[in-house]
Amino acid sequence: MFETFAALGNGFALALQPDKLLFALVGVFLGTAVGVLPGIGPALTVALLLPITFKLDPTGSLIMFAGIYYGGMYGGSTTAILINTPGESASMATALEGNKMAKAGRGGPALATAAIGSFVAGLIATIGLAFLAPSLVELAISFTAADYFALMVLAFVTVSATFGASPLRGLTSLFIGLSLGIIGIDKLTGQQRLVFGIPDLSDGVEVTTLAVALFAVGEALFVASRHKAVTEKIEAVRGSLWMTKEDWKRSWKPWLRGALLGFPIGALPAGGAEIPTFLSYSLEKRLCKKPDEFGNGAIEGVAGPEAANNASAAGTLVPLLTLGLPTSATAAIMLAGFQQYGLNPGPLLFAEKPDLVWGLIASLFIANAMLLVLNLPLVGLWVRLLTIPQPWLYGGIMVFATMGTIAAKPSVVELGMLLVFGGMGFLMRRFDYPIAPVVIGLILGPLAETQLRRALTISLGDLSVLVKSPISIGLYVVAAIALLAPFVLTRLRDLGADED
Amino acid sequence: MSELPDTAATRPSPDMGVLLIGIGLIAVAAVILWDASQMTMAPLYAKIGPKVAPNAIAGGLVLFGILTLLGAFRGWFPARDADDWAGAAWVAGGLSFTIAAVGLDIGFIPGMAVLFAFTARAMGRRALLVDLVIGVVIALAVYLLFTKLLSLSLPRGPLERLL
Repeated sequence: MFETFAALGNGFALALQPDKLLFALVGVFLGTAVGVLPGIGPALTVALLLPITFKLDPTGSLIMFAGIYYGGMYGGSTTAILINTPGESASMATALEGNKMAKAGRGGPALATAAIGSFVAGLIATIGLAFLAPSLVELAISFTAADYFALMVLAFVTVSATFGASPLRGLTSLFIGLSLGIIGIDKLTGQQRLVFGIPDLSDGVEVTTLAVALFAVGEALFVASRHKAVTEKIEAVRGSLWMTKEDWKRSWKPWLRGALLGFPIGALPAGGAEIPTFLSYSLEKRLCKKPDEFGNGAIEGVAGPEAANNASAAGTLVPLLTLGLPTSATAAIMLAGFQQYGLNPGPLLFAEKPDLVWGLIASLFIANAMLLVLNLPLVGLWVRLLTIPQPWLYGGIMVFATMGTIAAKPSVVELGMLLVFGGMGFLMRRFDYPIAPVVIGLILGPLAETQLRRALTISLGDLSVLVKSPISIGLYVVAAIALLAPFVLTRLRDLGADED
Repeated sequence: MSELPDTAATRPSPDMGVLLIGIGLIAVAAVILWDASQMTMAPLYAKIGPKVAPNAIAGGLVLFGILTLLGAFRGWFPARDADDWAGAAWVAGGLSFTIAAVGLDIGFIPGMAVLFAFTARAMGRRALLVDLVIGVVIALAVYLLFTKLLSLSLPRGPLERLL
């Protein structure tokens, strides 16, 4: 406990240096500005802004990243409240009540409760992260290669099969990502795989290229093909920005409940912030003293889900930092950001670079506080960003997506991948395949393969090593449950429907 | 899953798009298996070498490909509405031009300006020339920001060499 305080203190000493504060500020500002644009969620925000951090030192760039991540999340909720176009599924619950509030002229309090709720939840969750991380790191040190492999199998199952609309499509997405992960030179033997004699492919597929292609190019192709060039109605922020005494009274409990729901679900390798936000929404609906207000702009319906969303985002940093396990598309891209500096998140990073890890955690607190101070006064600016006409908005998104790829690797092959994977993203949207499992499969696949081969090398190829430790067995059991759960749930729902 | 599973199950014709996805997944698996079969390595790695993961992944793709084919006949996939291929073609065309601009040394700014204008056209704008000018201004600003301020190198064509 005391060591955590000391480490966190050192982290703050680093993160409070003027240049690091500047990085956090720029990150928060850019993250919000990009995240507020309709159709851009936090994952794409982080992927689009990654090239900007290329020339910074690792600490500065990761601090900027933390700001971009939190800023992108905040921007998304602003969009959800003001134009009812959630950039990602985790903001959908916010849009339900928030947009109704904005329509009723209570956009100010809706934005305020979202901002303060995000702050409170972010604070609680980051404290949770700071205190949970060291004990998880200690546990992770005792993990064998086989245990790590089992953990990754569990993460694969939960992010692709358990919570999506269709386990078949989720697993197919995951395996497409795993296939892309094979491309390149095998790290252990130097064997070229799926390179087809193209030199550019021997480095493998860049996570950012894939993410930008799937999220930005795929989305642009999809929107263009839908031809829904309907301009969304933006609700002006009328009246006071401030919350009334009653708003405060109705908000503080949902904030806390949302944070307590969001953090553990985000911290488990379960992936996705949709679950806690919708859980929080239905919980608040049940607990609300004025249930008829739900559906017409109940402030609890914004406060709870927004807190849950932010807390689960901070929660996903727990497996990312302590185990090197990304459980959301955003976390996968952040892992790519770490790897670009040759840093591998996991227990070793805490031991080898404590400054960097604790500086990052401290700057999460700082970014959170900056957002609170920055965003409400700047809401006029964000609203103006929302008024960019859709053709120019997508034109700009395409320019930034392509520019990021060119800045990272100005090759025709790399840009060709942007086009090909963009087409794939389009088809995946059209046929309702989830996108996050592809990104996670690409980055986590090679890591899982390394652990598997490490385990099998030690055991001289004896497969029983995979189920030797109680930790592995436990993880496989949970994975099996997670794989079967959706089928059982559907069956139960069908039975229930038959009885009605 | 369609809203009326019973009638969908008896639908006479398979979902052609889904059918093609299933075939595509199996084709990708075949390519991965072929690639793995071309690898030659010391017998030491036979059991735990670089072939293991590709073979396992290809196996998964074949399984999901077969299930997808089944789904095409059983109506497991949601219904889709018609596409406007022209819109998507404008976006893809713009990006293709950008790729050509990088490959053929036409330069960053023209590539980006066309991408911007074509994408705007895809979303329903009908002012290609105006958008091209806007695109040039944006691309120029981005070019100067990236090359002068962040000292990243971007592809240069005749226009960029003047800057």
